[in-house]
Amino acid sequence: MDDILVSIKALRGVQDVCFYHDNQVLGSTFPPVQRVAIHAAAPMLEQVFAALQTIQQDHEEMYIAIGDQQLIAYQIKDCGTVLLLTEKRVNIPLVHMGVKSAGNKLKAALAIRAAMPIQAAPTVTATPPAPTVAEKVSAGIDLKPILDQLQALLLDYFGPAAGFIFNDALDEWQRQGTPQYQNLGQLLTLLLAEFDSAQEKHSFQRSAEAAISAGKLTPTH
Amino acid sequence: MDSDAPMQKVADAVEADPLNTGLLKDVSTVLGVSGMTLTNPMGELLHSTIEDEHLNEFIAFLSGTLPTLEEVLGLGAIHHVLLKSPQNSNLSLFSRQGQSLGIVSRPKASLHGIAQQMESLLAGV
Repeated sequence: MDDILVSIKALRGVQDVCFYHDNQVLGSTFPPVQRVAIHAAAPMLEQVFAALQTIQQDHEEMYIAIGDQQLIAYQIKDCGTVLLLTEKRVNIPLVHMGVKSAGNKLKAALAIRAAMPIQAAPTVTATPPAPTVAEKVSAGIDLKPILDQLQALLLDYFGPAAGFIFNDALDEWQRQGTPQYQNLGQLLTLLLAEFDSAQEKHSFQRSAEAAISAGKLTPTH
Repeated sequence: MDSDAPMQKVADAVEADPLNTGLLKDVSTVLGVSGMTLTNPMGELLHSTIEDEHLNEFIAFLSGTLPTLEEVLGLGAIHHVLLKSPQNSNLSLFSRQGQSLGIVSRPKASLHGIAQQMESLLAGV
């Protein structure tokens, strides 16, 4: 959970972030001096969203210009509310995309959190844990250098949000089947879908295909 | 029927308040604005062109929430709140000296443009 919030905080202009779920703050990067105030405000903002829902309104983004800063609340469906304190002027589409991308990870973290007591129960037998994406990816051919390069290429187009976008695509790629060199085209398709500009899309595609081709020649470890 | 009569009532109601009828007229001409509601510090509606009563009540609720939120956060005065919907109209609330001006804007309207014009209009109050 903390890793996800730290990733959001890394977005330009974001000062601190916390995640509010089911009447409690589950994670926060706010310093102790600010934590009490921000955490006290979270239920109030949740109440505003709740009031909107009662009148059949579907607003899920709230931007509050306060002093020289901005407080932003994003409600993530079936998950919770992400609360961010940012500079007054911030790249809203970038921040919003970053939070939206992190939404699936927050849902996954919540699911893990919910499952933790069951895993801790003594009746659970030693079933080997499902392999992580990284473990699956590293099975067989070593794709890591190629994946690292693809992620690095994305940075040129999406800046700090590149990590979110890449990880989401990687998760989806894993769901579609066994991650292997032969299926990298599917991953590339997922990444290309994130581009709005045809020119940038084409440019990224050329670089990514070159990286994939070069990776094939790299000896496996 | 005298079409100026309702605005005259507003003028009477807001005579002593910083947000005046001239401002309300200016607000209604801003591109993308489809409705507005003016509330006093007690959450009472001074003027509204929004027909949806639930929305008016919500704007009054939100304007009543702001002083508490300001106090809890301790970061300074709240000037502006924007609520965005993925598909429907967006809501903005501008707060000045206890009075709040709620704006409903069309989904495709430029929120930045509206906010800038509102700030400009309110700066002259």
